Amino acid sequence: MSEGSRRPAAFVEAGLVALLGAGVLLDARAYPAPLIEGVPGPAFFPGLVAFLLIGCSAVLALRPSREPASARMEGGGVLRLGGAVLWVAGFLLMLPLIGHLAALPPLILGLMWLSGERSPWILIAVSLAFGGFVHLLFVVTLGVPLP
Amino acid sequence: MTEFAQGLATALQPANLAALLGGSVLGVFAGAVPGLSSTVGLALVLPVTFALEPTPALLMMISIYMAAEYGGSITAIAIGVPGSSPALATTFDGYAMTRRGEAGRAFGISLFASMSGGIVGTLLLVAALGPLSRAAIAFGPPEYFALGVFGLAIVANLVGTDPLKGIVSALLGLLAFIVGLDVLTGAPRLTLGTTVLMDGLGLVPMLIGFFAIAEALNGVSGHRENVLGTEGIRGALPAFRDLFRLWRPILRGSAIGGIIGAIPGAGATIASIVAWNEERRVSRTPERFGTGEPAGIAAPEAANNACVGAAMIPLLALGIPGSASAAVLLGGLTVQGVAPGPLLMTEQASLVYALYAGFIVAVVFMLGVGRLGIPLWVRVVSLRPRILMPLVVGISLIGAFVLRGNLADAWFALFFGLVGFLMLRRGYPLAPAVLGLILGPMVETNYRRALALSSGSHTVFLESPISLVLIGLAVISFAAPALRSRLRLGRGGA
Repeated sequence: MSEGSRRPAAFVEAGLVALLGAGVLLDARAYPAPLIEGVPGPAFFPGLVAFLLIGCSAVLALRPSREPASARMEGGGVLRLGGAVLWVAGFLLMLPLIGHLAALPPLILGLMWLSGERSPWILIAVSLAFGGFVHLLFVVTLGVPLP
Repeated sequence: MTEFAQGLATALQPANLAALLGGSVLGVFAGAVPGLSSTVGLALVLPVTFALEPTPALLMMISIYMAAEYGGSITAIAIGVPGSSPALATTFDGYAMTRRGEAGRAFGISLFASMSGGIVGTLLLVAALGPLSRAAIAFGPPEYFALGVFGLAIVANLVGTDPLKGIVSALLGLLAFIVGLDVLTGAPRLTLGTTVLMDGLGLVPMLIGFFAIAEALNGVSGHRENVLGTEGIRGALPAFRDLFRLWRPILRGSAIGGIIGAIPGAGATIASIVAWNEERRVSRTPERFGTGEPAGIAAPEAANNACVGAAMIPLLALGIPGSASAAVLLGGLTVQGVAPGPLLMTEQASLVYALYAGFIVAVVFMLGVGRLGIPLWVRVVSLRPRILMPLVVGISLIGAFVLRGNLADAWFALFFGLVGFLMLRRGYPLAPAVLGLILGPMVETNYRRALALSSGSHTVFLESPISLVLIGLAVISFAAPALRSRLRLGRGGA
């Protein structure tokens, strides 16, 4: 991995950590003052964590470091990951509207397809069986109400 | 002795036996399937334990933990791929024995060593929990603050190869704990003006997201396949004489696992590698290690199972989880309303003794499930990740929802899953973040309480010898990686 392709990723990473720290500092300004003088109030600990995060982000940005091997992901992997997250978000939006029995099989079917499974029989059988299994386990056996 | 007999009677009740047996089956499965682990197995079962009574719920979880440490060796021996990281050292000699046509013998050695290690770890837990709990009863806010800082320091340094990323991870966990209402004043913090975040992000959605969904997203994005053949798994099981000859490696491995397992943050992976290395060091034929030496399986397998009981010592006595799996177990205790700490031995003695006995029964079930099911397990672990991982996501989302009946928890689990996936990709260990969330309240609340009691004087942390020692250890732990690299640089330059 060349220096040129490594540094931007490290800067973005450090920038995100610093941004998070700055956001916390900003939020902490609105917290109430300490109840007892000399004793830290609710803003102290978030402020401390935020300062430490900003300090760590500076070290992350400045230190020489190698891109971890795990960070590399091919284009197809990014698409599958994005697709999977959107599919799960869609499931969570639909769950209260259509219920778990109707929402779970499409969730599993879509995720299996994104993972590379192409056999229609496996896609249908496993997703339907999973919906039934969840219903049996949580609703029938454990008595836990699901949407 | 009477208490232990009562604990044994409790563990042997039908519902508890069923929980222990179910836990053994699930644990071997979770340990054996590459991509899952004891931590993922525990995270997945966490929502199911919600509907159980505390005793069977916790017995099921310890049984999963124990069996998963053994389960990892199945794939390590069968195909040379550790089912979970603590079985890494087992691949060195286990897979070599399989290639030599001695897979059955290797499985038998692994199982016997795991059982022995599990028993030693349990005995260590029984011996250490009472005295440590009694010592910890004297703890006040300064000592608890120092203990929390020590827990954070040791974990941030020991987990992962990059200490800075470990520290950032722990800070992110502390940030996650801050979200919600301040315990002492009730002021909303980092809630973004919404009521959804007033209750906080919660430990369980984080555990499910980090350890189950993140792993599943990794599988979905990577199109990973388990290449598993069943060739060469047959072979004669070891003779009793063969096992008896290994008593020294098993004892050494168990002792190493027991000591390392009790240190928060060290964990079973380190213990098993240290045990393998130590065994090679003391061997008269070190050159045979890595080529199918039985002692090279016995020592690491004894070590990783001894870690299970040992990791429960800081968890139950002090509320400090010694590993990621122990952190999920802490989630299980929290769900059941059981508060670990010095008072656990006095307030919930019957539960503690049931857990002691449960560990022994779990070891027996692990032996049975492991021995009878070897041919089956080898087939089961070949279940394709493209089928398995979507099921993990589905059960995780439903599981996150059922704990509080709150759909927001499922969203939080998805959020943590995505964050966890990205952190893993960028080389950030997840365990420090979980520990940050767990130890954050201990650190902040006790810091503020101690200062309120001392009218704002920081000398309160230096007046107590326990607090002073713990803070000193935390400072050493923080400084150790930098000192080590300085020393290495110095030697390199000389």
